[in-house]
Amino acid sequence: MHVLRAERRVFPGPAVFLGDDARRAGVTEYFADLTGSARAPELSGQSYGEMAAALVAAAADGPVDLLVLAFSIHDMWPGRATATYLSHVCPGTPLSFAVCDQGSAAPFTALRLVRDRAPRRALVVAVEQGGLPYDSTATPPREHRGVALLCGDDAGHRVTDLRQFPDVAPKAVPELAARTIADLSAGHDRVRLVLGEALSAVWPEDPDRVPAGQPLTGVWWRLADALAEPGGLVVVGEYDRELRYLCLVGIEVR
Amino acid sequence: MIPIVTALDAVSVYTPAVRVPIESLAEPLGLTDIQVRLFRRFHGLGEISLDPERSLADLLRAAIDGLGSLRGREHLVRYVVYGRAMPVVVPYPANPLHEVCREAGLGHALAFTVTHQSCAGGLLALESAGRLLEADPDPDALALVLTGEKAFTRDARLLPGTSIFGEGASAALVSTHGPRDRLLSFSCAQRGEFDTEFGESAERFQREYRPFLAEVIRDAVGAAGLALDDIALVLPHNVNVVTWQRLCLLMDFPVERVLLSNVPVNGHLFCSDAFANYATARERGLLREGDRYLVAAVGAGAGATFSAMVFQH
Repeated sequence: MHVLRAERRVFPGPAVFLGDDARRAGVTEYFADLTGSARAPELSGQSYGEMAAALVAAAADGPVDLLVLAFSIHDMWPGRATATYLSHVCPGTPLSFAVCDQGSAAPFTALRLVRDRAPRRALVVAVEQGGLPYDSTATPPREHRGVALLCGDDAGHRVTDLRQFPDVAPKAVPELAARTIADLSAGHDRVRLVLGEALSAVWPEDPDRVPAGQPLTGVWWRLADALAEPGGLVVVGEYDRELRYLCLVGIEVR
Repeated sequence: MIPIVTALDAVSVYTPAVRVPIESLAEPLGLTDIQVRLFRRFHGLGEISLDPERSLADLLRAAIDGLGSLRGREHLVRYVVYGRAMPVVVPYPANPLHEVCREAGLGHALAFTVTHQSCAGGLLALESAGRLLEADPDPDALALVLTGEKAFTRDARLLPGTSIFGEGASAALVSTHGPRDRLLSFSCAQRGEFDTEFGESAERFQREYRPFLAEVIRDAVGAAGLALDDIALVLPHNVNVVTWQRLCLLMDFPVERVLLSNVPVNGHLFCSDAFANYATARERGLLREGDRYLVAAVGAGAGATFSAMVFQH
């Protein structure tokens, strides 16, 4: 499998659909039932349908066979089958679904599911938005951001290996990450690391830290920069502190 | 693109003991007497499980607890794939999937949810689990496929004029080498044009629903190298009885071979219908060795997903 291109966007404003009174009412009721709160929620976040549609339009250069939407924090249209909607707006009407409930591991799982299905063309769309309409222990992402990776069997940046380790205790992360990065790097003279916020914290040698605040899209945002610089191997890594997933993928840049 | 073998090794289904007749849902769902009577007499719905005291984690836990063949084999489970209709079911960052995995001794497994295909998500989870196992170098690796939902909000309680959701959950143990219930084919077609983004289309959807589903069923049967006559039993989604009666007329397939007996007692169990109907078929001895049977699911919310699988028992 190859990564053919990466497209990314910041979405500075709230979702357009929130301007529709009927949809706001429906979403308000959903969140009230979800939280059991009688207090009217403050609806100001983004919609993954709107974000991903823009990313799909930017990334899809022709018919796509498979689309996987990856997210951690939910969006502001909670009952929508967004991936099914995306299958209609994406060229090729691909089989589409979403992967979630896995924190920052979700985009890695999406890439893995794409690799296992070996489609001619696939899109992995990783999205996160910063609005939560209720009190939560979670810190929402700083910005509404998304990254789309167009993958396929054409010549591109080859995905050399993808490793996912569930249930890794924080103290075990440095050693396991070091060993895995060494494995993935074997045979490559030039290796660049793109490590997420949580992994950078336990990786003292990381010269190019991914800024904090975008726990799902941070590394994939930075990968788009890394792919623009030819040659060598890029290792993308992320650790989810809450769910204890360590994920790494090696990508050979053309 | 289908794995060589995806085998269902065992299935457990849980529905809460608290059962309510659909008449008692009239007020909370805003249904008129006529609408309730239509659901009972025309659509064949009767009662559902609905237990406000049991959380989503409780439902999933009960389904896993019922899977006796998991005992002692937890260490072999590499993947837990949760197929869910409703994309958002708990406030963030609560994560009942990982909560129950840890409790069940499955914290070492890669666990995630597949969603955004509404009630067709259970079949997608099963198919995805098969692909993960196929790519796994360990031939003894297992996957656990979970489904289960609470009827917690209006969208998760009622399909207006069509069906009423009940609560329940299922757990299925999947391998690449099991001798029983091997997956022969999977077909899936999505109709995102029915998303509300594109305006009101309820009438067109109702008109095209059965032809779409018939097409996907024929695709799955054809991909398995079979004809419809070869299908010994259909395990439907429990949307209602009349939809399947009419679909059978359209496909010229005997409705007696569609297991509809759970519609009046369960209502529509989101993604769990397929597994609940499988369990019933096994309990009643409706599947004989070598039988080829079809499982169908439709996810109809904002947009629609039509899926079908053919298995050999």
